[in-house]
Amino acid sequence: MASVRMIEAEEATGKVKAIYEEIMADLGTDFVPNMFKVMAHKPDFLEAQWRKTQAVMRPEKLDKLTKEIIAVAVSAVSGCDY
Amino acid sequence: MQAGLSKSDFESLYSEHFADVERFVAQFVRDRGVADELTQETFVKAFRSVGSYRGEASARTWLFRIARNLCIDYLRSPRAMQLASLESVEADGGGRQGYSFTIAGREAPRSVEERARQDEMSDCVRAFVQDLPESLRTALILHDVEELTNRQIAAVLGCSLEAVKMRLHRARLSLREMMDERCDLFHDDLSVLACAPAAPLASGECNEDCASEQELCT
Repeated sequence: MASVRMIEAEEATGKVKAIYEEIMADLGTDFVPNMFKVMAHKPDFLEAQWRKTQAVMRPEKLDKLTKEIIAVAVSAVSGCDY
Repeated sequence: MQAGLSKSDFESLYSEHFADVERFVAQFVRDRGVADELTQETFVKAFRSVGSYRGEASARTWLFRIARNLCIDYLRSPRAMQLASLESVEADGGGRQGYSFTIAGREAPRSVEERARQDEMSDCVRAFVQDLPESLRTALILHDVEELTNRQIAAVLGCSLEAVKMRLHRARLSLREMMDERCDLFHDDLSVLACAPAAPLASGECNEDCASEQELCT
Protein backbone atom coordinates (compact mmCIF):
# COMPACT_ATOMS: atom_id res chain seq x y z
CA MET A 1 0.00 0.00 0.00
CA ALA A 2 1.29 3.44 -0.90
CA SER A 3 2.45 5.47 2.10
CA VAL A 4 1.39 8.71 0.44
CA ARG A 5 -2.21 8.96 -0.74
CA MET A 6 -2.52 9.78 -4.42
CA ILE A 7 -4.86 12.49 -5.65
CA GLU A 8 -6.95 10.88 -8.38
CA ALA A 9 -7.99 12.76 -11.52
CA GLU A 10 -11.66 12.69 -10.46
CA GLU A 11 -10.98 14.58 -7.23
CA ALA A 12 -8.48 17.07 -8.70
CA THR A 13 -9.47 20.72 -8.79
CA GLY A 14 -7.98 24.07 -9.86
CA LYS A 15 -4.31 24.04 -10.84
CA VAL A 16 -3.91 20.31 -10.24
CA LYS A 17 -6.85 19.51 -12.50
CA ALA A 18 -5.46 21.77 -15.24
CA ILE A 19 -2.03 20.16 -15.06
CA TYR A 20 -3.52 16.65 -15.00
CA GLU A 21 -5.39 17.49 -18.22
CA GLU A 22 -2.20 18.79 -19.76
CA ILE A 23 -0.28 15.66 -18.75
CA MET A 24 -2.89 13.34 -20.23
CA ALA A 25 -3.10 15.33 -23.45
CA ASP A 26 0.68 15.45 -23.78
CA LEU A 27 1.19 11.75 -23.07
CA GLY A 28 -1.88 10.74 -25.05
CA THR A 29 -3.32 8.71 -22.18
CA ASP A 30 -6.53 8.65 -20.18
CA PHE A 31 -4.70 8.37 -16.86
CA VAL A 32 -2.18 10.39 -14.88
CA PRO A 33 1.05 8.60 -13.90
CA ASN A 34 1.19 7.75 -10.21
CA MET A 35 4.25 9.84 -9.46
CA PHE A 36 2.40 13.01 -10.50
CA LYS A 37 -0.61 11.99 -8.42
CA VAL A 38 1.66 11.86 -5.37
CA MET A 39 3.18 15.26 -6.16
CA ALA A 40 -0.28 16.80 -6.49
CA HIS A 41 -0.42 17.45 -2.74
CA LYS A 42 1.85 20.40 -3.57
CA PRO A 43 0.44 21.94 -6.78
CA ASP A 44 3.40 24.26 -7.33
CA PHE A 45 5.80 21.35 -6.99
CA LEU A 46 3.68 19.27 -9.37
CA GLU A 47 3.74 22.05 -11.92
CA ALA A 48 7.51 22.53 -11.60
CA GLN A 49 8.17 18.81 -12.02
CA TRP A 50 5.84 18.53 -14.99
CA ARG A 51 7.48 21.52 -16.69
CA LYS A 52 10.87 19.93 -16.06
CA THR A 53 9.68 16.64 -17.59
CA GLN A 54 8.42 18.50 -20.63
CA ALA A 55 11.69 20.38 -21.01
CA VAL A 56 13.82 17.25 -20.63
CA MET A 57 11.77 15.17 -23.08
CA ARG A 58 11.31 17.92 -25.67
CA PRO A 59 12.99 16.92 -28.97
CA GLU A 60 16.16 18.92 -29.52
CA LYS A 61 19.50 17.44 -30.55
CA LEU A 62 18.06 14.08 -29.57
CA ASP A 63 14.58 13.06 -30.63
CA LYS A 64 11.94 11.99 -28.12
CA LEU A 65 12.31 8.26 -28.74
CA THR A 66 16.05 8.40 -28.14
CA LYS A 67 15.40 10.28 -24.91
CA GLU A 68 12.87 7.65 -23.84
CA ILE A 69 15.36 4.89 -24.61
CA ILE A 70 17.99 6.66 -22.50
CA ALA A 71 15.44 6.99 -19.69
CA VAL A 72 14.75 3.26 -19.90
CA ALA A 73 18.48 2.50 -19.88
CA VAL A 74 19.11 4.73 -16.86
CA SER A 75 16.18 3.13 -15.09
CA ALA A 76 17.43 -0.38 -15.88
CA VAL A 77 21.02 0.32 -14.87
CA SER A 78 19.88 1.97 -11.63
CA GLY A 79 17.54 -0.89 -10.79
CA CYS A 80 14.61 1.53 -10.68
CA ASP A 81 10.99 0.36 -11.19
CA TYR A 82 9.94 3.47 -13.10
CA MET B 1 48.48 14.27 3.13
CA GLN B 2 46.62 17.07 1.37
CA ALA B 3 43.81 19.07 2.87
CA GLY B 4 40.30 17.97 1.96
CA LEU B 5 40.52 14.24 2.59
CA SER B 6 42.02 12.57 5.62
CA LYS B 7 41.89 8.93 6.61
CA SER B 8 39.30 9.80 9.21
CA ASP B 9 37.02 11.00 6.40
CA PHE B 10 37.18 7.60 4.81
CA GLU B 11 34.29 6.00 6.66
CA SER B 12 31.83 8.60 5.42
CA LEU B 13 33.33 8.45 1.94
CA TYR B 14 32.76 4.71 1.94
CA SER B 15 29.17 4.83 3.10
CA GLU B 16 28.31 7.76 0.85
CA HIS B 17 29.73 6.39 -2.40
CA PHE B 18 29.86 2.62 -2.06
CA ALA B 19 26.54 2.00 -3.84
CA ASP B 20 27.43 4.38 -6.71
CA VAL B 21 30.79 2.75 -7.26
CA GLU B 22 29.25 -0.72 -7.04
CA ARG B 23 26.64 0.20 -9.68
CA PHE B 24 29.32 1.69 -11.91
CA VAL B 25 31.54 -1.38 -11.64
CA ALA B 26 28.60 -3.65 -12.36
CA GLN B 27 28.37 -2.09 -15.83
CA PHE B 28 31.86 -3.33 -16.62
CA VAL B 29 31.66 -6.86 -15.28
CA ARG B 30 28.59 -9.05 -15.51
CA ASP B 31 29.59 -11.35 -12.67
CA ARG B 32 28.16 -10.11 -9.37
CA GLY B 33 30.91 -11.65 -7.29
CA VAL B 34 33.62 -10.01 -9.37
CA ALA B 35 31.78 -6.67 -9.21
CA ASP B 36 31.67 -6.89 -5.40
CA GLU B 37 35.34 -7.76 -5.35
CA LEU B 38 36.35 -4.86 -7.60
CA THR B 39 34.22 -2.42 -5.61
CA GLN B 40 35.94 -3.49 -2.40
CA GLU B 41 39.30 -3.26 -4.13
CA THR B 42 38.48 0.28 -5.27
CA PHE B 43 38.02 1.40 -1.68
CA VAL B 44 41.05 -0.51 -0.46
CA LYS B 45 43.16 1.16 -3.12
CA ALA B 46 41.63 4.54 -2.35
CA PHE B 47 42.31 4.04 1.35
CA ARG B 48 45.93 3.16 0.70
CA SER B 49 46.46 6.13 -1.56
CA VAL B 50 44.39 8.60 0.42
CA GLY B 51 47.59 10.46 1.24
CA SER B 52 48.30 11.11 -2.40
CA TYR B 53 44.82 12.45 -3.14
CA ARG B 54 45.45 16.04 -4.13
CA GLY B 55 41.89 17.27 -4.11
CA GLU B 56 42.04 18.44 -7.72
CA ALA B 57 38.92 16.42 -8.47
CA SER B 58 36.06 15.59 -6.10
CA ALA B 59 36.47 12.46 -4.01
CA ARG B 60 33.64 10.86 -5.99
CA THR B 61 35.38 11.54 -9.30
CA TRP B 62 38.60 10.17 -7.83
CA LEU B 63 36.83 6.95 -6.74
CA PHE B 64 35.28 6.46 -10.18
CA ARG B 65 38.69 6.88 -11.79
CA ILE B 66 40.21 4.22 -9.52
CA ALA B 67 37.25 1.91 -10.15
CA ARG B 68 37.48 2.33 -13.91
CA ASN B 69 41.20 1.57 -13.96
CA LEU B 70 40.67 -1.54 -11.86
CA CYS B 71 37.86 -2.69 -14.16
CA ILE B 72 39.98 -2.22 -17.26
CA ASP B 73 42.86 -4.12 -15.67
CA TYR B 74 40.46 -6.88 -14.72
CA LEU B 75 38.92 -7.11 -18.20
CA ARG B 76 42.37 -7.55 -19.70
CA SER B 77 43.22 -10.34 -17.27
CA PRO B 78 43.16 -14.06 -18.16
CA ARG B 79 40.56 -14.58 -15.42
CA ALA B 80 38.11 -12.25 -17.19
CA MET B 81 38.68 -13.99 -20.54
CA GLN B 82 37.89 -17.32 -18.92
CA LEU B 83 34.67 -16.03 -17.36
CA ALA B 84 33.61 -14.44 -20.65
CA SER B 85 33.97 -17.73 -22.50
CA LEU B 86 31.89 -19.49 -19.83
CA GLU B 87 29.22 -16.80 -20.19
CA SER B 88 29.02 -17.30 -23.93
CA VAL B 89 28.46 -21.03 -23.41
CA GLU B 90 25.64 -20.31 -20.97
CA ALA B 91 24.11 -17.75 -23.34
CA ASP B 92 23.90 -20.39 -26.04
CA GLY B 93 21.54 -22.35 -23.83
CA GLY B 94 18.46 -20.22 -24.37
CA GLY B 95 17.03 -16.97 -25.69
CA ARG B 96 14.90 -14.26 -24.11
CA GLN B 97 11.17 -13.96 -24.06
CA GLY B 98 8.86 -11.12 -25.10
CA TYR B 99 8.36 -8.13 -22.86
CA SER B 100 7.01 -4.66 -22.49
CA PHE B 101 8.17 -2.10 -19.99
CA THR B 102 7.42 1.17 -18.33
CA ILE B 103 9.39 4.35 -18.76
CA ALA B 104 10.35 6.97 -16.25
CA GLY B 105 7.34 8.62 -14.73
CA ARG B 106 4.71 6.27 -16.07
CA GLU B 107 2.54 3.73 -14.31
CA ALA B 108 4.26 1.05 -12.27
CA PRO B 109 3.62 -2.55 -13.35
CA ARG B 110 0.33 -3.86 -11.99
CA SER B 111 0.77 -7.61 -12.05
CA VAL B 112 3.36 -10.27 -11.38
CA GLU B 113 3.41 -11.01 -15.09
CA GLU B 114 4.05 -7.37 -15.98
CA ARG B 115 6.73 -7.18 -13.33
CA ALA B 116 8.43 -10.25 -14.78
CA ARG B 117 8.28 -8.77 -18.28
CA GLN B 118 9.74 -5.51 -17.02
CA ASP B 119 12.57 -7.37 -15.29
CA GLU B 120 13.34 -9.14 -18.55
CA MET B 121 13.33 -5.85 -20.39
CA SER B 122 15.66 -4.31 -17.82
CA ASP B 123 18.07 -7.21 -18.25
CA CYS B 124 17.90 -6.72 -21.99
CA VAL B 125 18.55 -2.97 -21.92
CA ARG B 126 21.37 -3.47 -19.44
CA ALA B 127 22.88 -5.93 -21.90
CA PHE B 128 22.68 -3.29 -24.64
CA VAL B 129 24.43 -0.78 -22.40
CA GLN B 130 27.13 -3.33 -21.62
CA ASP B 131 27.56 -3.98 -25.33
CA LEU B 132 28.61 -0.37 -25.90
CA PRO B 133 32.36 0.18 -26.32
CA GLU B 134 33.94 0.88 -22.95
CA SER B 135 34.73 4.54 -23.56
CA LEU B 136 31.16 5.28 -24.67
CA ARG B 137 29.54 3.20 -21.94
CA THR B 138 31.57 4.87 -19.21
CA ALA B 139 30.66 8.33 -20.45
CA LEU B 140 26.96 7.39 -20.60
CA ILE B 141 26.87 5.81 -17.14
CA LEU B 142 28.82 8.59 -15.48
CA HIS B 143 26.68 11.30 -17.05
CA ASP B 144 23.16 9.89 -17.22
CA VAL B 145 23.18 7.54 -14.22
CA GLU B 146 25.76 8.96 -11.82
CA GLU B 147 25.07 12.56 -12.87
CA LEU B 148 28.68 13.67 -13.08
CA THR B 149 29.35 16.83 -15.05
CA ASN B 150 31.23 16.62 -18.35
CA ARG B 151 34.25 18.17 -16.66
CA GLN B 152 34.21 15.53 -13.91
CA ILE B 153 33.89 12.78 -16.52
CA ALA B 154 36.88 14.21 -18.36
CA ALA B 155 38.83 13.85 -15.11
CA VAL B 156 37.74 10.22 -14.70
CA LEU B 157 38.52 9.30 -18.30
CA GLY B 158 41.61 11.44 -18.60
CA CYS B 159 40.39 13.09 -21.79
CA SER B 160 39.28 16.51 -22.99
CA LEU B 161 35.90 18.08 -22.39
CA GLU B 162 35.18 17.93 -26.12
CA ALA B 163 35.99 14.22 -26.20
CA VAL B 164 33.52 13.62 -23.37
CA LYS B 165 30.76 15.45 -25.22
CA MET B 166 31.46 13.48 -28.37
CA ARG B 167 31.53 10.14 -26.52
CA LEU B 168 28.30 10.92 -24.72
CA HIS B 169 26.55 11.83 -27.95
CA ARG B 170 27.86 8.75 -29.72
CA ALA B 171 26.87 6.52 -26.78
CA ARG B 172 23.29 7.75 -26.88
CA LEU B 173 23.02 7.37 -30.62
CA SER B 174 24.62 3.91 -30.51
CA LEU B 175 22.13 2.80 -27.89
CA ARG B 176 19.30 4.08 -30.04
CA GLU B 177 20.70 2.33 -33.12
CA MET B 178 21.12 -0.97 -31.26
CA MET B 179 17.54 -0.86 -30.05
CA ASP B 180 16.29 0.14 -33.49
CA GLU B 181 18.12 -2.78 -35.05
CA ARG B 182 17.32 -5.48 -32.50
CA CYS B 183 13.95 -4.41 -31.13
CA ASP B 184 10.56 -3.63 -32.59
CA LEU B 185 9.76 -0.58 -30.45
CA PHE B 186 6.31 0.92 -30.21
CA HIS B 187 4.08 2.83 -27.80
CA ASP B 188 1.27 0.68 -26.45
CA ASP B 189 -2.26 1.88 -25.69
CA LEU B 190 -1.06 3.26 -22.35
CA SER B 191 1.57 5.30 -24.22
CA VAL B 192 4.25 3.15 -22.71
CA LEU B 193 7.33 2.36 -24.76
CA ALA B 194 7.28 -1.37 -25.46
CA CYS B 195 8.98 -3.96 -27.60
CA ALA B 196 7.03 -6.41 -29.72
CA PRO B 197 7.69 -10.13 -29.42
CA ALA B 198 9.48 -11.67 -32.37
CA ALA B 199 7.38 -12.72 -35.34
CA PRO B 200 6.80 -16.50 -35.34
CA LEU B 201 9.53 -18.31 -37.21
CA ALA B 202 8.76 -20.34 -40.29
CA SER B 203 8.41 -24.03 -39.55
CA GLY B 204 11.78 -25.80 -39.57
CA GLU B 205 13.67 -22.52 -39.89
CA CYS B 206 14.77 -22.42 -36.29
CA ASN B 207 13.46 -23.94 -33.08
CA GLU B 208 12.72 -22.04 -29.87
CA ASP B 209 16.20 -22.69 -28.55
CA CYS B 210 17.69 -20.78 -31.44
CA ALA B 211 19.85 -18.04 -29.94
CA SER B 212 20.08 -15.48 -32.69
CA GLU B 213 21.06 -11.89 -32.02
CA GLN B 214 17.44 -10.84 -32.52
CA GLU B 215 16.37 -12.96 -29.59
CA LEU B 216 18.47 -10.81 -27.32
CA CYS B 217 15.54 -8.46 -27.23
CA THR B 218 12.50 -10.52 -28.07
